[in-house]
Amino acid sequence: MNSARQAQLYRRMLAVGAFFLLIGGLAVAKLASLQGLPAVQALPESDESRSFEPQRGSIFDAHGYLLAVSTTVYDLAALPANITDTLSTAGLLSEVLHRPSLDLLQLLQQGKTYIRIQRGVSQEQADTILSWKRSGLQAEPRSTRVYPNGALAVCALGFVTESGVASHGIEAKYDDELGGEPGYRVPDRDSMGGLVYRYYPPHDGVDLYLTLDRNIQHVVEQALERGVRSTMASKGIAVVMDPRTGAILAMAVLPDYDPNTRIVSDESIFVNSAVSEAYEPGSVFKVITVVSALDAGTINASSTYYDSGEILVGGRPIRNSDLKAHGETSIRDLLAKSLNVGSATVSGRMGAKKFYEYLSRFRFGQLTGIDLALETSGWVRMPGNPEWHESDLATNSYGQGLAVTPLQMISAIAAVANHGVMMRPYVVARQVDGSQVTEVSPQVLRQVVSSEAASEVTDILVYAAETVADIVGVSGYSVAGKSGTSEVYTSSGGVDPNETVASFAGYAPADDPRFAILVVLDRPQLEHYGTRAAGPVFQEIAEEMLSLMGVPPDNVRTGNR
Amino acid sequence: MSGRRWSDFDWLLLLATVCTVAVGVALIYSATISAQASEPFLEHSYVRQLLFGLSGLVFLLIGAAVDYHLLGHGHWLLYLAVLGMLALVMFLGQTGFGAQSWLSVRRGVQPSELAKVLLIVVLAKFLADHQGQLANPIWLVSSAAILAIPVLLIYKQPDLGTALVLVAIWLGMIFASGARLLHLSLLAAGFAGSVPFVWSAMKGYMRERVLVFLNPTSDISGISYNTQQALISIGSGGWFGKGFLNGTQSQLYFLRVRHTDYIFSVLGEEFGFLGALALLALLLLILWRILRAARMAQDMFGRLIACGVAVMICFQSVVNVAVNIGLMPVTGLTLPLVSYGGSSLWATLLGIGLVEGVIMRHRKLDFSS
Repeated sequence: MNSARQAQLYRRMLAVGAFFLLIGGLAVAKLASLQGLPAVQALPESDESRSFEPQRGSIFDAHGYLLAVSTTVYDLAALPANITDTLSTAGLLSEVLHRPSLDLLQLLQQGKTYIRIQRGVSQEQADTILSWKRSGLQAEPRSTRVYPNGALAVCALGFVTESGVASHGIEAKYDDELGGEPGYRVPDRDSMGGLVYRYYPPHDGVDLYLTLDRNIQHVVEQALERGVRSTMASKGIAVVMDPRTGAILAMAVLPDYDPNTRIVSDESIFVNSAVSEAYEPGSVFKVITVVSALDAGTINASSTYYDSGEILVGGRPIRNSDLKAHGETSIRDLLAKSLNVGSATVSGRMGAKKFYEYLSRFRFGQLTGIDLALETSGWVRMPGNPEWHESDLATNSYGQGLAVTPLQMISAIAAVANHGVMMRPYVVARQVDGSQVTEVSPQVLRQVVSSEAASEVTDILVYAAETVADIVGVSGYSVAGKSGTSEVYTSSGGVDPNETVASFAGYAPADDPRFAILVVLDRPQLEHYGTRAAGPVFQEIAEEMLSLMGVPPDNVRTGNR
Repeated sequence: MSGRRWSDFDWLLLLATVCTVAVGVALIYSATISAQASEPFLEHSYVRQLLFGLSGLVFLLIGAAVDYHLLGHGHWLLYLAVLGMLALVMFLGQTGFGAQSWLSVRRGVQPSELAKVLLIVVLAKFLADHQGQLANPIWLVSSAAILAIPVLLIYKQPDLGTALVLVAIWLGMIFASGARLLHLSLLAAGFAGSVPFVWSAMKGYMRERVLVFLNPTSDISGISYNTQQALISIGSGGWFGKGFLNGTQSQLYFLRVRHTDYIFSVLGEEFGFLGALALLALLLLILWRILRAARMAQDMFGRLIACGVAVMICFQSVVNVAVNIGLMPVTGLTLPLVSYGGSSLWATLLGIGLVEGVIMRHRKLDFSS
C-alpha cells in the first residue's frame, strides 16, 4: 500500500471522527440552550399543597387480640331538592340502615337544602348506597377509631375523638408513633416553567402490642365490678403487674365508659385513677416501712417491741386502729395485726433521714415512668419541707399523711415480691412499624432492698394473709398480702369512720411470684375495711390468674425441685 | 501474523471505559433506588449493572487476548452464528419492552447486541480482503448484501434503532476502507430517493414517532411525553445540576425508562450541564483512543475493526443524546456503557476489547514471518 493511499485512508478516518465531533458539538450547543430557557413562574398559592392522611396504628393485647383500630366510616347526608323519587329512596335507605322508612321519609321531606341522615355509616352500607347512583345522596368518608371490646381496658387505652385528637392513656402517650407521618405534596416548578408536584407518601402509624392480656383484663374487670357492686364503692381500681418484668398485665378503673361512644355525665371518669390520681394507701404501706427497716438493719426478723397502745410522736398521739395495747409484739404480728403503734415505733427507730431515703428509693413522690399519659407523682412531704411535722414520720409509716398512686404502690409491693429489685412498669411490649419490630425490654430501676429483707417480709406477708385465708387465700398456693384501710377526711376536716379507702395488695405464689395485685375500693358503703372489702376481689383475681397462667400448686412445684 | 504485546495495551482507553461504566452505575442507582427499595440486593438494577460491568471486563480482556486474525479466518462461521442467533430470536424470542429481542432464557441476552460486534469483524474482514477491488461497485454491493440479512432480521424484531446502527456501521466502514466518493454520492442519492418507500414500509409506531418529532403538537397519544420529560429534566438541572439523588424528575417517576433510554436526562438533571459535558468528554476520549488504534493498526482488517467499533459507540451515543435533548425522534437506542442493560454493556466492552487487541498487535514482527 502506498503512502498516498495510506494518507487518504487516514483522512477518511479523521473525517468519521470529525463527523461525530460535529454532531457532539451540536448536542452541546442544544444542551446549553436548554439551560437558559424558562423564566420560572411564581408557585401557586399554598392551598395547592395537600396532605395525605396516614393510617393510625392499631393496638393489640399481648397475644395479638385487637384492642383498637382505625377504620373509615361515612357520614350520610341528603340534598332533598335533588332527590327525584323520595318515597323509593326512603324505602331503599330503610333496608340498608335498618331504620323505619317513615322516619327517613320524614327526614327527606323537610324543606331544608341539606340534611344529615346518619353519621358513622359503615363502608359496606355506604358502598351499597352509592351504588344506586341516586342523585341527592352524599357519603363523606371520615376516619374513626373503633374499640372492638368496648370498655375493656379503657383506662389504659384512652381514646381518639371524632376530630382525631388522642386523649388519655396509650392513645395520648403514643400519639406520635400511632399517628404516623402525613404524606404531602408541594408544588414546584421545573426549569421549563411547568407545574410539578413533589409527592411524599404518608408513613402509616406503628402498631402497638401491649403487655395487657385480654383474658386477665377481663377477669380483673369482672372481679372488680363484683367488688364495687357488693360493697357499693364509689370507685374501684385494680392493677396487676408481673413483678419480674414490670409488665402491666391488667389495669382497671370502675366506673368505666365505652370509648366508642364516650357518653358520660361527668368527664372526670376519663381520668385513669390508677396512674393519674393519688390516694392515702393506709396500712399496705407498713410493708414498705418494715422492709426498709429490715434492710437498714434497724430491726431483724426476730425483733420485738413493746406495744402500749399509744405513743407520742412530735407531741401527737399515735394509736392502734383497734385502740388496744398488745404488749410485747413481734414484727410478724405488727404486720399481721396491722399495728400503727408498731410501725410508728419502727420508723422512729429508723429516724427520718433513713425512712425518707427509703421512700425515695421506692420512688414515692416521683413518677414511675410508665408509658401512659398524665401520670402523677403523688405527694410526699419530706423533712425540710416547712409543712413537714415530726409526727409525719409516724403517720407516714402506716400510709397516712401522704398520697401515692395505685401504680406507685403496686410497683413498690412488686419490688418486694421480686426479691427487692424494682422494675419500671410498662404497658407497651412491642412496636411494629411495617416490617420493623421493636421489642421493649424490661428495665431494672434498682435493687431497692436486699433480697434477704424482701424474703423475710414475704414470709411475714404469707403469715399475714393466712390469718385471713378464707377471704384472700387460694387453696394450694402460698399467697402474700396486706390490707389497708385509710380514713377519708370529710369536707369539714373531720374523719367519718364510714368513709374509707379500702385496699388489698399481694402476690402469688409467694416464693416465685408471677403477679402482684393491688385492689383499691374508694368509699365502700357496705364493708369499710381493707380485707373484707377489697380482699375478695384480690382472691378472685388471684385464683383465676393462677389457673389462667397454668401455675402448678405449691406442692407440685416444690415437689418437682 | 503478529505477536501480542501487553505493554502496548491502551490503559487510557480502559480507564476511560471503566470511568464511563462507573458513571452509568451511579446514575442507574439514582434513577432506580426509590423504586426498588423492597427488592433483594442482587435484583437492584445498579447492582446488576455493576456485575455486568465486572463480567464485561473479562470479555474485554478476552477480546484483547484473542488474535483478531483468528476471528478473520473464521469470519463466515461468525456470520452464520449471527444469522442463527437472530433467526432463533424470530422463533423463540419473547416480547420485552415492545420488542421481540430477548431470548427466552432467564437473564436473557439480546443477540442483536452481540450481532453488532460480530458483524463489525465480518465486514472488516470482507472489506480488508477486497480493499484493492473496491473501485468496482460490485464489492460494495456485496458488502451491503452481507449486512442486509441481519439488518432485516433485526428490523423485524422490531428494533429499528439497532438496524440503523448496523447501517451506520456499514457506511462508516466502507467510507473508511476507501470506497470511491462517486459511489458514496450515488448511495446518498439512492437513500434520498427511497425515503417514500421506507415510509410506507415503516410500522405504525415508527411513523408516529417521526410525526410527533416533526410536530410535537400533533401528539395526541402522549408519545412525546418521555421526550418532554427528558427535556424538563435536563433543563431543570441547570449548569451545575441539582445534586446526586436529588433530581425531581428522575426521582419522582416523571421519566419513564429512565435507567435505560433516558439515563442521560438523569445525568443532566442531577449533575447539570457540566456533568453532561464531562460524560461527553469521556466518550470523546474513548473515540480518540479508538481512532488512535485505527491509525496505528498493522493492517486494514484491524483498522476497520477499530473504525467499526468507533462508529458503533459514537453513533449510538450521538443518537441517544440527541433523543434525550429533543434533536431526534425516539429510537430506543441506549447510551453505550452508561445505560442499564447487560447485553449492550457486554457487547460494547467486547468491542473495546477487540480494539485493544488491534493496538496490542500493531507492531509488525518481521523476523517471525
